[in-house]
Amino acid sequence: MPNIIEIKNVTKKYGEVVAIDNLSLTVEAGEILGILGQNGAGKTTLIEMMEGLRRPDIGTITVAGFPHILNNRDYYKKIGVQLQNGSLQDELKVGEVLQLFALFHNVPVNRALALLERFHLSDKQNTMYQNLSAGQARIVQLVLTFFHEPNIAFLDEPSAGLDPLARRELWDFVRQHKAQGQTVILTTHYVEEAEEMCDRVAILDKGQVVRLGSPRQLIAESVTPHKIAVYHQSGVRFDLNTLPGISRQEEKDAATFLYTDNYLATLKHLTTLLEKRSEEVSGLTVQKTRLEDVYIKLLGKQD
Amino acid sequence: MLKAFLYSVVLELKMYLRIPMVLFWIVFFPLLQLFLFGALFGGNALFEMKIAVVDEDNTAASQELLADLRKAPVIKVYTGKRTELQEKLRRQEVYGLVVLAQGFAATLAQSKAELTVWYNPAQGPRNDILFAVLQEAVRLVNQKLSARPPLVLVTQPIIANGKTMSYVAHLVPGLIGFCLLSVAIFSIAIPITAAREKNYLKRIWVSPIPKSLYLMSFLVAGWLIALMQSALLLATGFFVYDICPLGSWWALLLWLNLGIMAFMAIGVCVASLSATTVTANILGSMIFFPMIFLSEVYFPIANLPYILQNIVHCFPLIHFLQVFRSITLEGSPLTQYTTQMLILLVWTVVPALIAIRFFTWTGKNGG
Ligand SMILES: Nc1ncnc2c1ncn2[C@@H]1O[C@H](COP(=O)(O)OP(=O)(O)O)[C@@H](O)[C@H]1O
Ligand SMILES: [Mg+2]
Repeated sequence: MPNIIEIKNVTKKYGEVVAIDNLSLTVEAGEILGILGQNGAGKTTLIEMMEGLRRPDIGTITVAGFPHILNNRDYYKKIGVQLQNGSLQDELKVGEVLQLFALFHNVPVNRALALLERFHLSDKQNTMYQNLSAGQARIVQLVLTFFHEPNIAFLDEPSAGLDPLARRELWDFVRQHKAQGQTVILTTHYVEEAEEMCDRVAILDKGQVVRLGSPRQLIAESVTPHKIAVYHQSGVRFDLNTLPGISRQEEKDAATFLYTDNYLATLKHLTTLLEKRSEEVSGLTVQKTRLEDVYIKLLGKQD
Repeated sequence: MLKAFLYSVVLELKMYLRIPMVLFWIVFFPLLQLFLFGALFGGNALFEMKIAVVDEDNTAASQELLADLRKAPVIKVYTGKRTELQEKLRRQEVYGLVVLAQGFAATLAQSKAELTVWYNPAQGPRNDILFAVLQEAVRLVNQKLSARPPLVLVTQPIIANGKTMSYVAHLVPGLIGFCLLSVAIFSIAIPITAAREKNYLKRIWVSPIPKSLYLMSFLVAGWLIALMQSALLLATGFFVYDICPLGSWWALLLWLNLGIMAFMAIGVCVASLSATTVTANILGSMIFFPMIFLSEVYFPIANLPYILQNIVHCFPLIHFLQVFRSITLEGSPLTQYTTQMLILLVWTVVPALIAIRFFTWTGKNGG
C-alpha cells in the first residue's frame, strides 16, 4: 500500500512542554491507524497537526496530493474531522446543522440524514443540539465527519461518552468505511478499542512513538501468547517462576498472573502444585494475552 | 458557496431568536424602555439650573421679579434676545425660558398674574425639576407680595418646525444607540467568543467553507438584527407617539449604517481580545454600561465632571446620538457633521485592525 501521510521528524512544543518529540510515522492508504497513549501523551497534538489545524515547530507532514495542509480548503474537502472537545452551536437543530455542513461540502443533505438513520437518531432531527445527550452529540459529530465520504477521517477519542452498544456500532461503521478503501486515523485511550478496530497501532508516550505495529505483532514481540491467572486468598504467595514455559510472574493482592509460552505444559505442572494447597486457591483462568497486557507492561511500571 | 452563506445567515438569525436573553435585551427591553419613559415623561428632568429670562416689559415690576429669580435657590439666570434664547432652549443648553412679555406689570395689578415658562419636552424628566424649581421661586415671590394677587406659573412646550417636540422623539435615537451597542456586545462579541471556546470555530476551520465568509454571516445577521430593531423603534415612535424624523431618510439610513459598522467592529474586536466567554462578558460590560449611562441615551447630562465628559467624547456613542438626533429632530443635513463621521470611521477601522491582528479561530491551542 502506498503511504498517504508521511510525518518526518516532527517536534511541537508549547512553551517548555514538548508535546511531540522528533516523531516520524507513516500512514498507509486504506488502513485504520490507532494512536494509543495516556492523557497528555500528545495524541491530540499529533492528530490536529495531521488535520492541518496546528503547525509543527520542526519537521514536515506531507499528505499525498496536497502541497500543504495548513489552511487548505481543498484538503478540508477531502478529510473528515471529529475533534476531541468539539461542539456545535447549542441553539441549532440537528437537521439544520446537517443541512449547513452539507452546503459547506456541496453534498446532498440526504447522505447525512441516511447516516443519522444508521445511528438511530433520525427522530432527533428537530431536537436542538443542546438537548442531545453527550453520546448523541458525539454521534452527530461523527455523522458530520463521515457523510461527505472523506478520503481520510480523523477521529480524536471517538468513543468517549458512547454507551457500549453505540461503541460497537462505531467500530462496525469505521471498519465498513475502511472497506471502501478509505483511511481512518483515530486516537483512543481504550486499548480494547484499538485492538478491535485498528490495522496498526502506534503507542505514544511523551510525544514519541514507543511501539508501532498490528495488535498481533505488538503482542507477539512484547509478551507471551497466554496468560494464566491464579486467584487465591489475599496475602498468600506462590513461587511459580520455575514452572515450564513461564517468562514472567506478576503479583496482585489476591491473584498471581503467569505469562507463558506453552500454556499446556505450564498448566499440567501448575494443577499438581495447586492441588496440594487447594484450601488457599479460589480459581484459575487461562487467557490469550491482549494488547492491554502489552500496554500495561510498557507504560504501567512508570508510575 | 452563496447558498451556504445565506443559509448560515438564516441560522444565525434563528439562533438569536432562540436565545431568550438575547431576545429580551435586544428586542423587548428597548421597547419596554420606550413605553415606560414615554408614559412617565412623554407629554412633558439637579444642581444648578440654567434658566433663560427675557424681559420685554422692562418695568420696575419686571426687573424686581428678575432680581428675585436671580436670588432664588438653584436657578442661574441667563438674559438675552428672545430668538437666541429660544434657540438655546431648543438645543437644551438652558432648561427653560421665562418670558416677561410687554404689559407684564399691568397684568400684575389685575387678578390674573401669570408667569409663563417655555420648556423643551425633549428634556424628559428634567422638565419636572424645572417646574418644581420655578414653582418654589414663585412661592417665594408670592410670600413677599402679600398685598397683590398671587403669581401663577404657566408652562408651555416649545414648538419645533410646527410640531411639538416630545421626549419620546429624543428617546428613540437613544434607544437605537442602545440597540446597536447591545447587538455588538451580546450578539457579536459574546457569541463569537463562546463559539471559539467550545471549539465550534475550530470545526469550521477544518471545513471547506471560506472562513471569512462564515464570519461574515455572523456579522450580516447582527447587522440585520440591528437594522430591524432600529426600524421597529422608529415605527413605534411613528405609529404610537406620532413622531416623524424631520431630516432625510437617506441621511438617516447612511448614518445608521455607519453606526452599525463602528459598533460591530467594536464587537469583533472584543471577541478577538477575549480568550473566554467570561472575559468577553467583563470586557463587554466595561464598554456597554459606561457608554450607555454617560452618552446621553436617556437625557442630556449637563453636570458631568470635565474629565469624564472628555472620556465620554472619546467613545462613539455620544457622537452617533448627537448626529442621529440632529437629523431626526432638526432635519440637519449629514454634511454638517464630517467630524463625527470621521470619529465613527476611526472607530470602525481601528477595532477592525485590532481584530485582524488578534482574532484566532482555534483559541490558545491554535497554530
Ligand atoms: N495549547 C497548549 N498549550 C500548552 N500546553 C499544551 C497545549 N495543548 C497541549 N498541551 C500539552 O501538551 C501535552 C500533550 O497534549 P495533548 O496533545 O492534548 O495530549 P493527549 O491528547 O494525548 O491527551 C500535554 O502535556 C498538554 O498539557
Ligand atoms: Mg487528547
